[in-house]
Amino acid sequence: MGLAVEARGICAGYGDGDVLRGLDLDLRPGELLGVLGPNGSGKSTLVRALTDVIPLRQGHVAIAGRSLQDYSRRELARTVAVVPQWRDELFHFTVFETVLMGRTPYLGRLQREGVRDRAVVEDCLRAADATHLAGRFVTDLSGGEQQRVQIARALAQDTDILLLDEPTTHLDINHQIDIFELLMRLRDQRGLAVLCVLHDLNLAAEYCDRVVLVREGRAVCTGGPREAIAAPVLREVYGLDLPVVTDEVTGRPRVLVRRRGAHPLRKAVPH
Amino acid sequence: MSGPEPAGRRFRAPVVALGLAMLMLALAVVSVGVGPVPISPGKTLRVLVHALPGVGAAIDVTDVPPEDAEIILSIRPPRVVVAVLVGVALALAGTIMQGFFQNPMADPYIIGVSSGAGFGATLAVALGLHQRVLGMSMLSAFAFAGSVGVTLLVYTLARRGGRVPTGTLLLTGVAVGAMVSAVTSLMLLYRTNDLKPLVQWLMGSLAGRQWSHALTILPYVAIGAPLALMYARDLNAMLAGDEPAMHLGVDVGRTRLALLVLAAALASAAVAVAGVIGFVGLVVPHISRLLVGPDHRRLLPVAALGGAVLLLIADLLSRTMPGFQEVPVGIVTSVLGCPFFLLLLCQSRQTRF
Repeated sequence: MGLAVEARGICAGYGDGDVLRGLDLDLRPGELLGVLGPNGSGKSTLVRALTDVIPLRQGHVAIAGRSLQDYSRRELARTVAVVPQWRDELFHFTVFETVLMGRTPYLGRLQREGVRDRAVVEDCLRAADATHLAGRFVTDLSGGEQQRVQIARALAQDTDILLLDEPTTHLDINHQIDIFELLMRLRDQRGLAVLCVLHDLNLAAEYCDRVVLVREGRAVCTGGPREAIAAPVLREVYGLDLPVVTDEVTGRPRVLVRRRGAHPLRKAVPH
Repeated sequence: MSGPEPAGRRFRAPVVALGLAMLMLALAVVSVGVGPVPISPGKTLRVLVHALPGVGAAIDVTDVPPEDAEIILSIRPPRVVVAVLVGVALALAGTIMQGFFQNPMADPYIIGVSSGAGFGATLAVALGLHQRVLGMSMLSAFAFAGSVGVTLLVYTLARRGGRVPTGTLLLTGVAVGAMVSAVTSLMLLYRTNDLKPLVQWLMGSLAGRQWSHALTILPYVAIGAPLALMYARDLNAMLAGDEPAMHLGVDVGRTRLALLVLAAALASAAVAVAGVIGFVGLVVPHISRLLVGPDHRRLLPVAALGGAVLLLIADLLSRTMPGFQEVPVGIVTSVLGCPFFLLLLCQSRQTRF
């Protein structure tokens, strides 16, 4: 099976400047890929470029083996689903209605949703642990619940590829873990190729199969967590000397946050 | 859409639509009866049903004097029909604009429709154009041209490399609107005679509207309403923002242009035949959303009927309010609409819609 997403030397941006400056990236089917990097390094722009929200200025993107330029917007929406960055819900849609909107790329202008669309929605709500929320208003949900609804809606698009832009940034640790456990299940049970933009190095180290570290619009390092989340790479990407240790249970790296100029704790001197 | 309905916070759209349709018909019958020669709603209804082909023969109208029948069948209906069509057009345009701007505070006048129409109408009066062309007064024609022209100008100025950012469009609309209004005021300053019809029109009025006015706006409503419904799903998707809509497969650029043209045409047609009637395009979509929720497939029909009902009520009030002359309907909608709207805002402490 070929690559889900293949990006080669892509440049894209806004106005005169490029945000992405020759970025390479592969997303394989059935993998959970983390994209990390400092603010402004081009992570969100990458999601926009991969989904034709902003045009490529250079380089090439293939989605499921086919050039991005050859997709109509509707076709693309049946191939790649996106969970956008969190924003406040303003309108009183119910959860069911919101997830049902995920069927938009399959429906004609005046076509009503059918039995199959409803069945898909129910299935996606179940997959995202959101069945109990179906009749609630999205405006009344907590951040973690809203995020699960957004994921259910993306699933309703019935795609093989799922892109998420910082799905856990505003959530507490419980919900962060919930979301990543959910993403792992979707990868394993549905064989989705999942690309997830995130900030938390430790979440990425724990859950992602591979990690891409982005700096100034380029992929600095791509590899397994132990390879990519390593002190020299982090120094290059973030300009910080972050100590990296290994979790004894999972063997995955852990990044420690240590204040500047900290020195080892001296043992209390008995007197 | 469907799925589990949230209990108690929404009404079923078909029920609301049916209720509004019946209210609209009842108000229309009452409206036809109200005037210098008052005619009871029962008599009005009988004469109207009698005029229908097929069923009409069964109704006895021998007790109705022919002058009354004449009033019921040909003198008063045009104004009532114009009120319904203008209400529908303004409410649809408002609903589309609020979806377009993802903002429940937007209305059709925000993109320059009213200021452009005012400019066009004032220009027609300043140039002393009084003749009628194709049954439409030059004032109406100039108003329509002005509102479409200013809307296009706003849209063109707000374009940024093939895209029209919402914030830029909003600010451009406000800035251009202010400029155009200033020029209008300047014209008014130099041309102070002959202003009565213009002022009436600027305040929004249905006085003396004829079948020609109804025929002027009818095509816009007849074509615009089904078109708006065709874009209902796109509008739903766009409520979450442009990017999420694109991710659902909506061609946002083209859809936004189509919706803007649609809303501008509907609002301009309404302004051309009835002048600047405020608050219908803002209040009606808002209340409709509270009743049936934000899904445009339910919202658009309910808002259209609600617009017709509101304008019929406002017109009835404008004709029956005591005073030396008829109160322009635009004043009634604002006097009626503002407090009601403020009440709604105060009651719902939340900021969501």
